[in-house]
Amino acid sequence: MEKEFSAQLTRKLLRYLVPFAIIVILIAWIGVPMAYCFLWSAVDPDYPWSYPDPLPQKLSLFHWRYILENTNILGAVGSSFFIAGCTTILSFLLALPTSYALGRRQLKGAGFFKTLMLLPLVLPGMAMAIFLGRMLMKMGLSGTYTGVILAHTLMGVPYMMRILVVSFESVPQDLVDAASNLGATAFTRFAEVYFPMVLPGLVAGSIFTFINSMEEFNLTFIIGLPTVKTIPTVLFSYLGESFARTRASVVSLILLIPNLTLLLITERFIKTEYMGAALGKM
Amino acid sequence: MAEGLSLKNITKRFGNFTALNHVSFDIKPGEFVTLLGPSGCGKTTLLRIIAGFLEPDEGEVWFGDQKMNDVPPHKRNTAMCFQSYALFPHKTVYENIRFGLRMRKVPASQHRALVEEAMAMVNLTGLENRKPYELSGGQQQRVALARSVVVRPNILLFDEPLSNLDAKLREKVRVEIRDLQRKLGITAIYVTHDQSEALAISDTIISMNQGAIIQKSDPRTIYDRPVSKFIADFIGTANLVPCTVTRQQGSLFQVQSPYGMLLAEDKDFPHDSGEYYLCIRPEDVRPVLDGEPAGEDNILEGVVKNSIYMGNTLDLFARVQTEPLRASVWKDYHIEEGTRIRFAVPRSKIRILEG
Repeated sequence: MEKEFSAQLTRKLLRYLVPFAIIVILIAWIGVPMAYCFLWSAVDPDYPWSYPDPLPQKLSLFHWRYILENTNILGAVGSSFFIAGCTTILSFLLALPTSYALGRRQLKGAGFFKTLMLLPLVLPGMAMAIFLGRMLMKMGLSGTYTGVILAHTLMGVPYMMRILVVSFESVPQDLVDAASNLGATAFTRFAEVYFPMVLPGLVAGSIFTFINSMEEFNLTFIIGLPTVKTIPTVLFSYLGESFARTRASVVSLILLIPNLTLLLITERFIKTEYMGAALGKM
Repeated sequence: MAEGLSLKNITKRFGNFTALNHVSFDIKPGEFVTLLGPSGCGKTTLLRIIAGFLEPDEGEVWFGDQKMNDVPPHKRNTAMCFQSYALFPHKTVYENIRFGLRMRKVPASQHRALVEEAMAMVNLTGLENRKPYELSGGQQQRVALARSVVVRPNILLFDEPLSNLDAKLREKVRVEIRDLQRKLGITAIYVTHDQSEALAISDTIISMNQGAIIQKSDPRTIYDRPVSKFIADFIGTANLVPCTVTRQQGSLFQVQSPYGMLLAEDKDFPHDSGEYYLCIRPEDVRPVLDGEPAGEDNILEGVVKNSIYMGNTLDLFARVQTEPLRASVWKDYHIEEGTRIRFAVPRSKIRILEG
């Protein structure tokens, strides 16, 4: 009797403890580096933070000021956003009709094309960047925004299409038939049935593409430099030969802000009832 | 305006599979017609051809005196209720019902009144602002129905609309569908595999199998005078045994069967020679208790193997000679398993069918 009771208690404890432990580990996983990042970004150069001090002796905004004053980080933020925005719109325009065709039409070789479009994601980033950079250079697009945007789009379209093809495939044929049965033309069917139902996929795909472009280093570095500078290329310049953990921390934190904002927006959006609709729950 | 419908020689193939094989029939304006058959018989394909979602390989579709083959679905004035209801999940009930009015360019000022009228017809008043997923299955079904009737189609199409509802609700909604269709006078074509639904709801039943029409008649005729073994077996239950005709006098036949020598009176006897089957409905079999006169009826003697009390009937599974015989008798009989018993079957209740 007592044994059974204690077994029950153990089970109950486990049921609470295991998820709790996982949550703690996950928070620490992200939180500890973040905390360190903050601390490192605020280390005062006159009081270096070294072993065995558990915390920096003095905090200051010196490195923040340095980065903002001596590098064109805000310009890099601006061009990052510009490139990511253009990439997202271009990927959207390319992926929407293609995904519709692959997801709804009975095309011969659709499976082949679906696999083919994922290829840019399979190739190692640097290899891809080097060969693509060479090609764009021949086309005279090296060091231009156009070149960088085109290269980013190449990486963005697969993400967008991967999500959109599935979204289009999961629109029930009955809904489309019902719409045309009630008198909807092809255009209205698209605007009133397909579009709202693939919207969550579209938003998710756009966010992925946007963040991907914001974080893209290889392509921007090889194709864009020296003219086009984005946050990652600025960041990596502090991770190179003259490694400066303090300044890298500052840039990392700046890079984090737009992405975090976007993530929160997506989270809110994806939670709406549309998600249920897209998953076919009616 | 209700409109009649004619199908002429409709053939549809999917690869090597012939889904419909030269199907022709006419439907009168305002008629309620059911396409009944097992799955894969082509009934849904036929409905989709009428709606215009599929094109026939051969044959013509006529609505009234207009040929519809080249008219796209959104220009045919039909309205379909889908098995899945096919409600737009991102639109409210009101917007779902209004959709067809908007598409058909009905002036916006009339929308509210028309939608509200349709909602009242199917008892949905008050649910305008709900989303489909907030409704029960029965309510979703009603929204689909309201969405179809609000546009006043010439032809209403139903694709197994009740198969996702529970049995009680199914019976209720099918009466409502029938009432609504009568009230509006719209021609209706209803696809189902449920024979009791077909019997209950239709003016005419078109029974199909393997892409062809087997029988087209009213519910009473199709049940009482099935033209083939397939229909007798598919609609309701039937005792079917092979038989040979040994003598004929007018419409009176003497037949040899595994149940013994029987007398049958059948005006529709198929006169070409071939394999025949006897059809006896379980409810036409009645037990004859000792001393009771059987009159002119055929007497079949057997042993009750199973006696199952169903509440509204008592179902007996007996063995006559070597052949099983099913009888559905008055619920108040007490007949034990293992009882030797005599059954009476009236001559007029034995049908002789082609194989």
